[in-house]
Amino acid sequence: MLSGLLAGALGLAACSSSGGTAQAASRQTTQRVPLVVYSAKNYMPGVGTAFTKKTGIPVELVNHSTGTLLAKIQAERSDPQWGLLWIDGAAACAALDQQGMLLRGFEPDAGQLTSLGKELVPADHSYVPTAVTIAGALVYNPKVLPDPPSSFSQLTEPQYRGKVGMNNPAISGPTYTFVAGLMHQLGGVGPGEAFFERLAANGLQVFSTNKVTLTALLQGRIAMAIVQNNAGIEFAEKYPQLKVVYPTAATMLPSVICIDGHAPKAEVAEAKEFADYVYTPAGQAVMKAVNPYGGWPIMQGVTPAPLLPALSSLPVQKIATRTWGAREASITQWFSEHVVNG
Amino acid sequence: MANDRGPASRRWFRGGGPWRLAVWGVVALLLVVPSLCFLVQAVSPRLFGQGRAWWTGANVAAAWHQGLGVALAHSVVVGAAAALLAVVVAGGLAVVVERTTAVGRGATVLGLWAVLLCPSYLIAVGWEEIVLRAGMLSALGLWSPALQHLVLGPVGVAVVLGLKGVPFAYFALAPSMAAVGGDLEHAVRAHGGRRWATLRVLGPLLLPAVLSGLVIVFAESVGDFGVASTIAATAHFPVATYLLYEAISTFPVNFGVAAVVGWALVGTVGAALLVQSGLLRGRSFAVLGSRGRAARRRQLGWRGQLGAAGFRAAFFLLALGVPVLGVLFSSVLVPFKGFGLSALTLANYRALLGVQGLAGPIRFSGEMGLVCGLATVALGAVLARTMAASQRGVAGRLLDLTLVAAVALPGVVFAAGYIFAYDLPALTRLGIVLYGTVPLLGMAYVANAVPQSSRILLGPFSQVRDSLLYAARVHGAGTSRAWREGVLPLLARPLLWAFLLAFAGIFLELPISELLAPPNVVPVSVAVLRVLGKADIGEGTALSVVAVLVVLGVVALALGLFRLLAPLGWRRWSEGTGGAEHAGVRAARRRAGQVGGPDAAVGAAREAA
Repeated sequence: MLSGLLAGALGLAACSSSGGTAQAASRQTTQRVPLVVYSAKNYMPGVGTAFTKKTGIPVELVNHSTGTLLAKIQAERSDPQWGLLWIDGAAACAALDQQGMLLRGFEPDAGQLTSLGKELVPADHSYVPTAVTIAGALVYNPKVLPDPPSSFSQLTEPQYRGKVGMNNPAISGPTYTFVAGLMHQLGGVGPGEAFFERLAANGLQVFSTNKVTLTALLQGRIAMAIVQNNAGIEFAEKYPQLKVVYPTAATMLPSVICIDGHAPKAEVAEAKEFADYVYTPAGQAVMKAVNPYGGWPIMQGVTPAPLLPALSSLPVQKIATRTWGAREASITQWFSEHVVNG
Repeated sequence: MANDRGPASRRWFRGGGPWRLAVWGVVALLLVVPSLCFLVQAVSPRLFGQGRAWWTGANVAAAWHQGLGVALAHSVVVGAAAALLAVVVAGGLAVVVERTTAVGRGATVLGLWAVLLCPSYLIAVGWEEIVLRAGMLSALGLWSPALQHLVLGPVGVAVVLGLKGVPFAYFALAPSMAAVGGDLEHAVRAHGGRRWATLRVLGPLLLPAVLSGLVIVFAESVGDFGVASTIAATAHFPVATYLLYEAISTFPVNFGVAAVVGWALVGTVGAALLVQSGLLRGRSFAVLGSRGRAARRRQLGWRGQLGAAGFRAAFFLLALGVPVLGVLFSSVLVPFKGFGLSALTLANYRALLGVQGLAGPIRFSGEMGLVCGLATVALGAVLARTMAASQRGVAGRLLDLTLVAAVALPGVVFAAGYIFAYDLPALTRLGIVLYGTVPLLGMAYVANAVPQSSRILLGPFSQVRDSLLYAARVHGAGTSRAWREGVLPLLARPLLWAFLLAFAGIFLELPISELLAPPNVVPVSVAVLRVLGKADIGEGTALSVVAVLVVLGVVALALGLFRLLAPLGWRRWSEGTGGAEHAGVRAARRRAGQVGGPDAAVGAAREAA
């Protein structure tokens, strides 16, 4: 690190004298440049290493939660630093697209999407779906709760009073998709808000993220936790006393890649290569090997991990990404005021 | 405090002219500019591409609509309660340590440093683990819903913040508690006054220190996020920092609302400083002179010793013992297995040993902690010196306000502010590329740590008298030698502790590390978060225990090295009972009084060093 500090200082001096930055200079060339990847996917380090090994393209990785990455991208709007973003949640990418930040019209040509995969591709091809998770699954302990609900709409019944915990959608992006999906199922924003008010009155407990909510389940503060399904499966694998179920309606949450539309051409070309690689059997195999619960694959010929139930057996639904994405700010704000702090 | 008058040509000793300009330049680059770049978005989001309006009041309205009024009121109430609790407890501790012969005074101060090093988050989680339905009390059959309700509510928030604030209040109070007294106490007694009369005379003289302690604990409490994100968040008790966190974590990110909350925090602390200033205005509290008489320690009998020990034990039990027990409990217990020997496991600790790839992050953060910790202490010492020399001037007050306001702003504000301030195309065109580099990360670490560091050092530096420096200069010593041989020996220990505090903070710092670490660079907190991302409370608390043990190991190592390697005079002169880092100064003052002047003091200091 000391050498890093020195190198940083020397780099600054060198840049000052040459009137341009190394990064800026490298971005102007058409040669291999570092591909800066902002990723919330925990299989990204493995995929990145395999990609570099195959193509020779160096990957510079910033690996944080989706919320942190989106905050960083938003703060960097004056001078974007990222080349490719890989997160859970198409709504965020749709919003970035509406702000004119994304590359449009790109579709990987490696591999064949399943019919579900094709349905997830946006009309303007501003982002690339890579897998599917479920935004809200129910994790519970059968000894404590022998009779879990089969539908989320049952959560307001008296027998579940004070037993339900979920994440705060203002902090956990996937949870917003769950809230939006439930509102969609119930008939819109109005009926959805009325439902959550009843749920809050029935003792709903709201925590910040998956980890905190699942911890509350361990601590006995709640009897069931609504979390993203992959987090729930990993937790249930560690504690076999717990079960994961998918009440109606389970809302799909796609994992997506999007590319900075204002990045230098060389970096955009490399980002496209990366997306292509993710669609290849080799890329899919690395994803599955690093994290088997990362999501249901949407490429033909790729099978899901054994612990994932067949997607066709679940009561899943899709919601209109742009419609519900545009409502995210107002709904999360309403949720904070009326449910979290109400 | 009385300031020695020196020749005008030597005003720079006390922070005048170019010196002050340089200090302000550094403070502006590190603290003021990034903070303002963030805060300005409350009214002008377009300035940094965050919206269409150059000027708008919409964010203020939105923040209010989202409950800023209630959250701020909660923050103020728990902050005030925490400050009051901390000052009362710290006052008691200062009396015991500084004015009595109670045994274990040195250990008390060490314990206070341990509380200071323990993150508020960990104290809060520890308490949760004790009082929850599936917690330790429940396992022992002692669970009480009333106690759970009490601890996991506003009262618990205030108490945890108050306990965490005790060291800050102590370090503000202890020097005055030790210094105020001697002559006045003697005079009261000579006039027939008893204990109550002595208290009535001496009590008001402690007012500046009491107010200083109240303000710093209040600022620390309203700016705290560890308790806000745990006990307060789950108790449906919104506080301002949590509102700020929500605004930054949500999508689309709402920097405008977060900035309004930031202004509210700064304004709240500013108001507290104004109250402090108003209460002290026009009154003199100068009691220290070179011929002052040291305060007399009260001899404690066995009852007194027992009471003093009980009081300290109760404090440390609540502030450290119970939470540590709670954290350990959750890290060694298998969930769903009840409470018994068969339910105990070290699996969480074994799992940590199996985690790959932590060595690099630990080394990186260790080196950053070392380099930036030293830079923090150097800058903190300069700022403390500047504030001590100009406390009554406008510049001194402004610096004080800047640093206290910075304490009230969460680290994420600095992190985002650094992006706005240093990730600009204009800077890139000028060839200044700091954003995305390790040096900028280091700057942010220093900016985040220096307000606390300077606050810790203010007390000791306030008691270093300019006469020491003047005398050294008269005897032919250069500036650096005068500081090195005349002053450094007196301040070695507080500087060491300030460094250790900065090191611990930087080593485990998260929001700045997340937003500002360059690609492919992973600080230890980020690496830990990745592990925790899929871990449960057991592994999480085990990891926290290990992290704190690592920091305590570094502290022990540093103190051991200090004892082994520091010159004898440094140890002798700066050791004491703690807040009594000033003991050396008192000794110097006593010697000066005995032989007739400040020259003797610096001579004595140099002789000892």
